[in-house]
Amino acid sequence: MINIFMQNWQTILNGFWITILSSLIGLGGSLLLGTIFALMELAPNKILKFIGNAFVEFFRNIPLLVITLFFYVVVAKDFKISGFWAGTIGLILYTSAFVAECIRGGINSVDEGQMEGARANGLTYTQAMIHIVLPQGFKLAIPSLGNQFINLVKNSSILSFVAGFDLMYQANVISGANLDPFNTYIIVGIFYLIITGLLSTVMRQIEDRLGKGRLQ
Amino acid sequence: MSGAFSSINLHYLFGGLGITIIVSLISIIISFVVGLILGVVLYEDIPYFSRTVRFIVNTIRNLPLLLLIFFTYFALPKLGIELNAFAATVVAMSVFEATMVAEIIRGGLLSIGQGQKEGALSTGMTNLQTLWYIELPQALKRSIPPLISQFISLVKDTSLATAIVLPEMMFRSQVIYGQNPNYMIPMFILVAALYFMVNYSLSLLAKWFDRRMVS
Amino acid sequence: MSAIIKFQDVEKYYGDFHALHDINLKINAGETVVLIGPSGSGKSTLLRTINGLEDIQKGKLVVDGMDISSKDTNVNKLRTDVGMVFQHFNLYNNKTILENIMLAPQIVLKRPKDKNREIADELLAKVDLSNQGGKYPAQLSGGQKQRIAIARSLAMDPRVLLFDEPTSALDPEMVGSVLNVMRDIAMNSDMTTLVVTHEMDFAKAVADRVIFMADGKILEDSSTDEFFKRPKTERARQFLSQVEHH
Repeated sequence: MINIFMQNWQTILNGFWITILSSLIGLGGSLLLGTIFALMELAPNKILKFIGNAFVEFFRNIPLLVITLFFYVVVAKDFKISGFWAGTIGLILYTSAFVAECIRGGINSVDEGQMEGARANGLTYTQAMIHIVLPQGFKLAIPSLGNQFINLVKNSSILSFVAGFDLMYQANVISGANLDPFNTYIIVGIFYLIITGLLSTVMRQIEDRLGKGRLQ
Repeated sequence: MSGAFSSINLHYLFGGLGITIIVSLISIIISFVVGLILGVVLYEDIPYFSRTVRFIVNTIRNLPLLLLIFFTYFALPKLGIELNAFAATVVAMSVFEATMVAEIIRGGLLSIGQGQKEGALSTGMTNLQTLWYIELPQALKRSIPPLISQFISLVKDTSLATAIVLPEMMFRSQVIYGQNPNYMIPMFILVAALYFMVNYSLSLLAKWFDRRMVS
Repeated sequence: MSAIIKFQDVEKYYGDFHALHDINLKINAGETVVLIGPSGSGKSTLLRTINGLEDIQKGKLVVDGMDISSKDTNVNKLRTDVGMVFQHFNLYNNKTILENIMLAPQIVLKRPKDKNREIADELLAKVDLSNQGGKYPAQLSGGQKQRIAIARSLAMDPRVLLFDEPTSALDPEMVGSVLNVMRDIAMNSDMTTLVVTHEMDFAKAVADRVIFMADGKILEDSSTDEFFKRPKTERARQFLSQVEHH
């Protein structure tokens, strides 16, 4: 097993880096897009609400692979788009539907008096949402967001379908050459566990800290 | 358009949908049964045993399903376990989803509160009777919505088996649009619509349970 | 004196439930009016219609020259003139005390930063909570929270201030400090104040007028003295004998 790593460490670390990079871009993008769609889902305006709901339901209910291949196969016919970006855009769209659900849930658990107090205080709906309700809802959504981000890292293996040169892709390349899939996949699995394990530890610490904060 | 949706193509694609559904159903049943047992083991804190199970469950949960599929199909033959694409998909998905189900069941059991358990024990029930008659029924009821969400993920994830050439719906759509690039867009629309219909019905079911539990 | 709040044949329904019944009421600028009545009588609902937190189905309601029953009225503009203090405070949990007071003046009134801070400090002193500005709401007692909520409303320099059972959620020993601040506002400012409360002693001491409600209707509308000495309806006499025997 050590041999496989020694012989392929550059390839593995390259894949590891691509997986991390795609996950980070996916995290930022889906957080932004998911927040926007959560706010649309909750908006008093019926058209915005409909668009928000339609987006979330659509991307939650079709496979990530369909979205990713759509960008890699169909969109790539007219626009130059690499496997990395096809996969990462797919990840952003897919994950943002789940992020939107987490944030909507968080906002819904904020005490209604917060919005009421802000409106009575003279703030518009949008001002009250941005300054008062969303920040609190976001905090409440953190535990479930953490789970989504762990899923995001695992789902980034979708890049291997579209020549995205991520960790999973490199695992297939290496095991195709050395004909030792058993040990190769175990090594690559360990690298995935490094990211997801680290992420769950960080999330647990953030939750602990928030838990203490609430007791004040 | 008409070419993409010719009766031969549609027949071929719906055959794939059939495989998608069969793989999903078998995996749902196995992962539910196994996950239920694992969930109880995690909750009950059996010395050494629970901790070992906890380690295995956490490890598998934190790996990509795609890696497990590849491992089952390509690596297990090294240990003398040869599985065809269908069996490999079912095994990998059942193992992976069972760990997800286990977490949901454990969460459901934890959410019930000690009062129920203490009440039952104080009437003379054994630990096992308490679990069976009092704790599990309530935990299962609460677990239904998250379980359905998890099974929606499972249906979607069957598309990953394309990678080991299981002729499910996603794979077959690729074969169809491989004949003619003009078939791409119609195929993507149809495949997305079919996945959506299956999964959206499931999510409506989850919402229905959610509402019933609130009232 | 001119009416700053005017209800004309107002009706309010929650689905089938008739919450407000044929409300006709004028409140003059600068008056202090106390609304009392058994729970479920519609007094909180009436109060909440005044700043548009509840809509009305029939009739006309004009507040500070703005017709709330009309769709064209800018309800945000109205709310900068009408402050409200809630039973459960509704302080912003994610903001410090100073930020709670300064947020609306900053983003709604665009009050300059220095001036905003100056006014906030004055208000903190007024409610006797100087030095607490850096804390979060969760670190304060109920009585302190309510005094901050009052300061937050005052910071908008409203013409009308509504109090919706401001002491009902407080521990008994906290009630006095909040009532003192309210008394000070009612006596020493030209603000119009409407108070829904069960504190009869406060009503006797501070109110110019008492409105008694039951079942969504206004049963009595009289001067404070008259109401407590000579209630006109049997319903009011019953209510008074119950609360005064406490």
